[in-house]
Amino acid sequence: MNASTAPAGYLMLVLHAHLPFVRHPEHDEFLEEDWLYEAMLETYLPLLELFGRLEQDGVSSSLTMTLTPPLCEMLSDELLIGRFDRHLCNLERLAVAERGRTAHTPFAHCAEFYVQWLRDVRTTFERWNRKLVAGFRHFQDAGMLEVITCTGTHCVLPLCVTREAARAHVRMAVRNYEKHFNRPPRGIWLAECAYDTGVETILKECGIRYFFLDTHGIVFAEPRPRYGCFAPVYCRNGVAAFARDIESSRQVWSSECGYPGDPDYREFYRDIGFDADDEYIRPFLHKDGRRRNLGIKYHRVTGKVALNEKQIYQPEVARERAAEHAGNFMFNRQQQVRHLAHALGRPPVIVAPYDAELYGHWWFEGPWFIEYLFRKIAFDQHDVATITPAAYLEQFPVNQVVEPCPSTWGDKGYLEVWLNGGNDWIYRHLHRGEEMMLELAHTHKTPSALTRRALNQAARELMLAQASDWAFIITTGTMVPYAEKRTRDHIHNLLGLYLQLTEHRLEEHWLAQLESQNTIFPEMDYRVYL
Amino acid sequence: MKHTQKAPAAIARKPKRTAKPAARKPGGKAAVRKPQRRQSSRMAKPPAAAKSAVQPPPALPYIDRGKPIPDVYDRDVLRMLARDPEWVFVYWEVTPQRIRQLQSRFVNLHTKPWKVKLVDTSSGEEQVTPIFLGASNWYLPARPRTPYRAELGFMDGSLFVKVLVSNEVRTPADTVSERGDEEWMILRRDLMRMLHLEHEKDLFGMGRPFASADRFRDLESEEAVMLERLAQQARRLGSSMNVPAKR
Repeated sequence: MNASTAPAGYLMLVLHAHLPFVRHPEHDEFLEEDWLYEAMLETYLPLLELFGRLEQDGVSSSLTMTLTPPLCEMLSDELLIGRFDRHLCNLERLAVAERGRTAHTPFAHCAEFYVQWLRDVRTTFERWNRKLVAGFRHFQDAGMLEVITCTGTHCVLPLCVTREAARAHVRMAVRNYEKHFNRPPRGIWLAECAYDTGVETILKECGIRYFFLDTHGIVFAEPRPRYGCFAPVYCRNGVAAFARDIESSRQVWSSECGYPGDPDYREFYRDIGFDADDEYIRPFLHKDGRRRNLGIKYHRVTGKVALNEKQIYQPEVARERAAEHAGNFMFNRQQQVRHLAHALGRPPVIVAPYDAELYGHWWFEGPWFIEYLFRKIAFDQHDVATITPAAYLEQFPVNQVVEPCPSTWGDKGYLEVWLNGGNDWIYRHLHRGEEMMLELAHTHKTPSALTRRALNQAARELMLAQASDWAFIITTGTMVPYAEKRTRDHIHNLLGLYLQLTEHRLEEHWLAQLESQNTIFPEMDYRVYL
Repeated sequence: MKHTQKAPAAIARKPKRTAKPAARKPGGKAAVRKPQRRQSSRMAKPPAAAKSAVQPPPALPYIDRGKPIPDVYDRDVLRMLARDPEWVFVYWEVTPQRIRQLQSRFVNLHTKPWKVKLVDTSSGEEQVTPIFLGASNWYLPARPRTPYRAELGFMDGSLFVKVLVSNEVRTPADTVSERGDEEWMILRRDLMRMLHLEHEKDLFGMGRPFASADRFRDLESEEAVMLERLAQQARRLGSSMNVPAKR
């Protein structure tokens, strides 16, 4: 790229795709498994679809995306994929029924939209032979996407008390990534962007080259960062860190002025699963008959009105709005990079990370926004180019050395979301679990086949207990009993395995039960704790 | 800096980040039943047959909160986590065996007040907080960018008897650093890539390694200039200086 076409700065769009590992083969249907199906339907498959269109049209795009190990495992699980197919079939039947029910009503056009939309989702699902990870791998290999990993089961590393347990999560993340993507990961998304001094040592040991922080993780670093959050920094050992830009985050995330609140966008909280007559909708619900979100929604945000005053959703109008917002976002980034390039004397990088599920699940039009954004950036201007972390480091290899500030991207910027009066009880159990796992790893150097299975399952149980999702859910108060149950179940299982191993009385039947239910990381090797 | 294009009208809407589940109703298998509404005794008709005036409360719904785990692990431990710049969290377990040991040494242990001492390990400053031992955890106020150690113990008169000592933590910063000294780095592999080299030793070696023929020609012309300058100096100083012969 010569000087006349070099951009003034760069936009690094990062989508963090994660769901906790939820798999309940003991039940034919399980409400919390719907999290995966909704995200597949509304986020992951639409993203694959839009990447496909961009590839077909030769649109240059550089997107960074986390696919966490638990998510990769669930997307590769035969049972869960089969259940998603069932979920999709159910919706397809509902959409056809809705088309008939709403004929000659103001809702007819919207109903027809869903029939077509679901058809597109099905096409993408089958295009990748139901293996979504393979789809993302394809686009990474094509140079359109950089997929990064995440800390094991999405563990907040600063809340581990042993270095070995924290390192085990990163080791498993690397191992799992290599299994799914046929190469080692270059970058990692620390769960919740939770960083503490020393994490970079573990990352370097595991071959990771960069990670992400919230804004103050770099802005509060020692010494002051010359370029603020608009350039990466190096930790003393050479691992790089990128920090979130506040301005671009606010335009999307803000509940008050963010794009998703536009009156023409689809209203999340009016869903046919709650709006339709009981007798009509019952066949489409779970067998327990409890009403739930089904994903077919006929109303738009409208404005600050009550739910029963929401107006009818018009998909074409919403799509136009997404195009406008993409143009607005791009314009704002152009202004931003021009200003920063002049002030900094170096092309800035605007790091814009979001939960992937915001695009599509919470903000239905989000994937359209992303597609328009990439097209507009590619064809409508030259100030801003999209870039991945590895490409930016290759172009700008000289960076400032700092000691980042321990931080998270959670509310208030530190650990309060995961450590407060509602959830602090879990840590004495998790920490004791770490000690037990280390003890087991050190005392079983040459285990028998059965013992090895038990050791590996103990490691899985501990890692599953350490997922940050449980503490987060307890804080937000949404599905608290489930989060508490998951924590206790995994600790109970770990304790049971620990006692059986130390007392040399393994119960193979019980072990097999645990293995068949908590199946994450088939490649688990307990020696990651050594 | 202002951006002239406006964002859409402000609408209070979705929270910044919420838990992944979208279900509106509580999950799991339990259904919370509303309590039965009892009629006022003035409104109710007299019962036709004798019935109990007191209705049993509705059965509590079963909520599966998971398999049983112990409250304690029979290990003496005091552990600290730095939650944010202004708070640290400590939890502890003092085993019955430890209590018995202490009871054998200290009379009326049960009357002695327990405290947690938070020690700033950089300055030695101490902050003592009375606690209730049975609480098993506490949040202690702290300062930013400070290393701490916690000690759990009790007061024997005016003497603090230390029973357990915690790990050390450092609270994070909450402001921009005062330090402005900068250090810059380039990774070895990036430097080698810029120099088109595989190994450092490629910088040296027998003769003159050149990255390209052009570079050789540049060096050759530079050498020629250097030799000419030496020759000029020799001519000025006399012929005793040996000028290396050009190869």
